[in-house]
Amino acid sequence: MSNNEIRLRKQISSGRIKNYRNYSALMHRHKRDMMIKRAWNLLLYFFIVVMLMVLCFVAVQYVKKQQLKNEEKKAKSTALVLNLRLDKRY
Amino acid sequence: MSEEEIQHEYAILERSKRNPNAFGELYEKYFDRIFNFIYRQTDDEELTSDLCSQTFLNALKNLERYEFRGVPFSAWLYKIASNEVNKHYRKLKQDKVFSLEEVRVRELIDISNEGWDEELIQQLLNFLKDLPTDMLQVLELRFFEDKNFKEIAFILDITESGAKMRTYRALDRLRKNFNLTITYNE
Repeated sequence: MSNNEIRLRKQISSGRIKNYRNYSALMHRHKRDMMIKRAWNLLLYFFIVVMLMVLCFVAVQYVKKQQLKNEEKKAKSTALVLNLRLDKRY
Repeated sequence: MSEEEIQHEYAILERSKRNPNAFGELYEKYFDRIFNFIYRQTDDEELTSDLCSQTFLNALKNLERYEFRGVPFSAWLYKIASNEVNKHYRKLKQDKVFSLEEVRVRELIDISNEGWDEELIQQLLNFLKDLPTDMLQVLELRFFEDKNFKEIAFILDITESGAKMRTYRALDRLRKNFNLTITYNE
């Protein structure tokens, strides 16, 4: 069982409906909506591009840091090996 | 609707995809019908006007996605309108209003021998009030909008047999309760 309300009424005249018919207003709204949609899409693409650039920058920074760390490690281990060899000689 | 008319509408739709101004012809053609369809479910002219505009706006916006599925373009508009009305009622969490044209109800129902009196009208309204919303929707589309079962199924997103079943069940109940003869062609 539903709780819908049922009413009987007089038929609405087409002249009265005509008052609500306005195609130019509809087109105006449609154009505005499309413009908003386009602007929103542009903003979204811009945001995605910026995010990608930030990600790339972070990745490059991380790789550089890792390389630096590796080089430092290498240098340390080389120094250690050299020290050991020197210790052995003397 | 003839094959020729469907083809003509399809051509307008194709043109409208490139130039939205071409959609005006379909707007003029279907505005009254969609307005009446929504008005029957709201009983509020201003609200109907808003929902009707939103319906055509959504149709324009999604024109690219429209594809012919064996039903006229109008069925697609009815589907959008129906969704808009449902969305409105969901948002307000209100019960639906069905306002039926008295003239149309009289046209559809021949009351054998008894005549048309106020008491019977009230009984009929009470009976319709107790019908589930999905049955009322099917009855509205079938008897007030003259849609065939294929179109009703498309509009309400149900199967064709489901649409038939709902209609016949509602009609059975009407016949049992009121001993009415309902004039319509299957």
